[in-house]
Amino acid sequence: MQQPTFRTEPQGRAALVNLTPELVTSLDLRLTGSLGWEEICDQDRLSAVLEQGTLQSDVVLLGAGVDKPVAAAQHVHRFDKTISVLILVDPDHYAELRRAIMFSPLRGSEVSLWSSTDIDGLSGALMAAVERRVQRRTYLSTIASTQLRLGRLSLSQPEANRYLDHLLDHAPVGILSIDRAGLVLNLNRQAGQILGVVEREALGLPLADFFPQSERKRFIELITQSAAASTPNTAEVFAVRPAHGTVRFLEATASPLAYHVGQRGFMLILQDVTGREKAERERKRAEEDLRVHAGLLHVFHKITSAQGLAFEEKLIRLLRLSCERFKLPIGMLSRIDGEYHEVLVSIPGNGAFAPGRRYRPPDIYWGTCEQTADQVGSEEASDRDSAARPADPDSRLGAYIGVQVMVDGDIFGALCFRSIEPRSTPFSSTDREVLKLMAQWVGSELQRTKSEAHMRRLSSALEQTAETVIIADKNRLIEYVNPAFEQLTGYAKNEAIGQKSSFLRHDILEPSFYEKLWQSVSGGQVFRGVLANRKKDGAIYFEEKTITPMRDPEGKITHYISTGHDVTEKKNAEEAARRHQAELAHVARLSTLGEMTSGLAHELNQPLCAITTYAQTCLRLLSAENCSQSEVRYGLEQVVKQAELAGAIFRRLRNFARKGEFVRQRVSMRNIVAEVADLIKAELAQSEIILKVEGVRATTYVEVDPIQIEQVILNLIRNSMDAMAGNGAIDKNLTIRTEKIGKTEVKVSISDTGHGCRPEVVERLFEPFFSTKPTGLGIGLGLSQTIIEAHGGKLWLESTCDAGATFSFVLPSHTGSRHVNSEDKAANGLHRR
Amino acid sequence: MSTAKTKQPTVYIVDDHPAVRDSIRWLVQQVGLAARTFASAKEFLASPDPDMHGCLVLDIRMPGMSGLELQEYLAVAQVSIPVIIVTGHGDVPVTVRAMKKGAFDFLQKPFNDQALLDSIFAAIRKHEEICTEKERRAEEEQNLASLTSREREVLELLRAGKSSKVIAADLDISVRTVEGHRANIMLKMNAKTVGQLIDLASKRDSAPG
Repeated sequence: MQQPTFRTEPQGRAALVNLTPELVTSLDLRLTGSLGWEEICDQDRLSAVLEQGTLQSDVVLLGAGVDKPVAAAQHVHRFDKTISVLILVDPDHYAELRRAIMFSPLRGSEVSLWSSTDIDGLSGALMAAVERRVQRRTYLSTIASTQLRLGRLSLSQPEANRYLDHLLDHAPVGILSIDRAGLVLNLNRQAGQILGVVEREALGLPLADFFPQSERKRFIELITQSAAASTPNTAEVFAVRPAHGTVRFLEATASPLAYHVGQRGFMLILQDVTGREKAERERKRAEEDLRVHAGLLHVFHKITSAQGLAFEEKLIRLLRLSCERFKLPIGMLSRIDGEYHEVLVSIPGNGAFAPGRRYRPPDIYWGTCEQTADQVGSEEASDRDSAARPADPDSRLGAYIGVQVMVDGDIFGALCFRSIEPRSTPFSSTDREVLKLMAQWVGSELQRTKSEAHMRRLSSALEQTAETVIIADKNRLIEYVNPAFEQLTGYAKNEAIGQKSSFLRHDILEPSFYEKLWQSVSGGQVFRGVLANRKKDGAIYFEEKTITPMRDPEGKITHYISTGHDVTEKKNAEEAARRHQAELAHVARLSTLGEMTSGLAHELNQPLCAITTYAQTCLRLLSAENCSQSEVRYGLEQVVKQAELAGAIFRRLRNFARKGEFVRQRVSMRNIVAEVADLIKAELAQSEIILKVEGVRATTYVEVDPIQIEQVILNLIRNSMDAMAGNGAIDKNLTIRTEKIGKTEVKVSISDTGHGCRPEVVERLFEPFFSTKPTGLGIGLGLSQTIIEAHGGKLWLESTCDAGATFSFVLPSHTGSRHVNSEDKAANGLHRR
Repeated sequence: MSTAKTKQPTVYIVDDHPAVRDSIRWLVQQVGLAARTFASAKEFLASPDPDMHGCLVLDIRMPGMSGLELQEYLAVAQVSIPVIIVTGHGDVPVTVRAMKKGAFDFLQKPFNDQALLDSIFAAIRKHEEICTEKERRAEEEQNLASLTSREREVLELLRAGKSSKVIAADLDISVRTVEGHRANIMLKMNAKTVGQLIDLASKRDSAPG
């Protein structure tokens, strides 16, 4: 802390409180020679100096670092009212501080603000302030000494008079003396100026006349009170309205005067305190405004937080409150619909702006709203230039104030108050604030209603959806089920809530399946699949389910939500379709058999014929003499052999024709091909077709229904036979080749030397009922493809040309132990019923 | 007369099914007939037996040349052996065709053994007759060829039923010459009476040539 330095200059001193060193230095330069200064580091030090009574400055400059400058100024004035206080303030806070000063009671004469950007002028201001203070002190002491003097001097002394006149004429305050009747005895130049009279003309007139009628009584009281002299120098402020100009405020101090000659009178000091008074009155008005504002907010809050009142009722009360406040008869909430406003709620609820009415707001209305940053638009008589913007003849808008209501970030509508008559006074900032508040409340209420409706829709969606919904906590205990769930499972809400979600399980699926399910879901994955569950009455049903983990904002899983729908019908339909296909395959087999009939009949007839002939010959031998046993034996042996052959044919036929369910077995592909070759060789020989069976030596196993695969190969062979029929002398070759593809597939190709497939036929080959034969049903290739694909393989036309075609199919081959997948197991499980 | 009877008749069996072939062969052999079996028509034709004697047991439905085709072939080749069709089908149209083409008989499989044997024996007999007839015809041709032209003339007139007197008048020769010719003709033609001569001639006319 710097030691205060004093420069004893006659012009006065300034106390610099809490200024930056740069500023001090700059001031020092400017003040040198004009003003003395002392530096006080901060507010506390200032207080200390004041209390000690050691402040020797005429002006106190409070730097920007002082954080409570108003309090500091008041503090200064507590000690000496005459000291000028200058507060340095940056432009951003200028208005705020000015307002603060306005609202704060200040006893002293002078507290003024100086912008901290205007350093150049600061020194001058300081010097002016100092001068004023010096003047004030001088004049006060002059008055005091004058009073003393006057007490001693005789008025008849011309020197005294002259002295007095001279003295008084240069005073900056008005000084008058009146006699006991209230007539002006003396007045100085300043008094004349203040009262607005030429000095000489006022002499002898009652001073009270210069005051308005309303103030005279008080004025006289002042005089008489001062005569009582209990409290010296009480000041009263009077409002004076001179002939020209605005109202002014005069502060008058009266003190009794005794002339030497015994005449009694009074001396008055008059000061023009218009500025101060105006400030004071404005402060009072602002205070009043604030009180009203607070009161308004209180009522506002009461209305909006009232229990049991509907939104519309609250809004009506608010509108009424605002109408009273704004003194506008019409208030309303309207919704924007394109170019029009539709009135939703209004005061009064009838007339041109009854609820439901639509009107187009005048352009000026919206224009103002949109231009102002706070979306409040207003207009009153003072605003409008009738010529430039005449009142809307339709709506006869005289005055209004309105604000946009925002819901969810979009403009919903407007709150506005209007009247046909214009307003005399402009709207205050309080009005705007109140309106903004109301708009915010309306907006948030509307938004809340919207959100509530949304929530209701959501919850009713859950309640009403046809999908079953289960919500379980993180331990999989059920917290909520919806009516669709109740309907599907037969369990009521209260029966399901609290149970573990697995209580519905049917035991068709293995536990490991469920374990994997929950592992992946609790890891954050979504599960989609078909589950088999049990209804309350024990019936099984299939549900296509989606199970989703639900997380809190931190990402921890708090619940699981599962939605699903019943697919039992679909499953049953699928099962029925599968059965239907098996039927179809069976029919196709029978049809194939039918086609093979003549060949079969021929084939069976041969052994039969042989048997008959052998047996008959045996009988013949037996009835002859010298029958040779060995010959008879020979015959019978042949009979047995032929019977067995015939039996084998029957067995193959029976097997082929059986209406079996789809039962997979592990069989060797070679065996299947061999069986088929057996079945068909008679016919092939009949048609002079040379059959070649080529294949891998090693056995490749497949997991198939052998009958169905035989059916496929037979079908392909039959097609080849038809392609080669009528080919004349060309060699007819049919080749069945089996080969391994990698480790996982086996491929069978049937090649012929027929006429091949024509291009236009190739595309349609696998169509269900397409056939190139006049009598063909055409189930063949399509069904064959379905069968192969159902076994996990593929069937296709590998090549075709004039000299023959090759059809191929692949099947997955299996090494190792038997493997059945769960779907089949489930399907089989269904079958068991 | 002919030496046909001295030939051993053989049953030729053509069928693609081995057991059927074998069973027929066995049956036929048990009744003392010779049998030869062939698995296909081709095989049968490949082993020529110029002096086939007996009958043919043939299956209609065979791969390669069918029974019907073989039958046609034989007809074209003027092989006279009788054909017994054995069919496993009840294939009526085919069978009818075969019969029209001159098959001796047909039987359906499975057939009664006696029925087959009866048919075989009848066929063998028929073949014998055919062969005998052939031989006789051949002889007759020879004899006719040895007639002089005058003798041929007289034979024609005799056949016409004319008496010797009329013939003599027609030919402007004596009755005795006519009678002399007549005796020669009868000697050459191996006929005992004129009646036989006339019969022979008419047989010749009516028999298919």
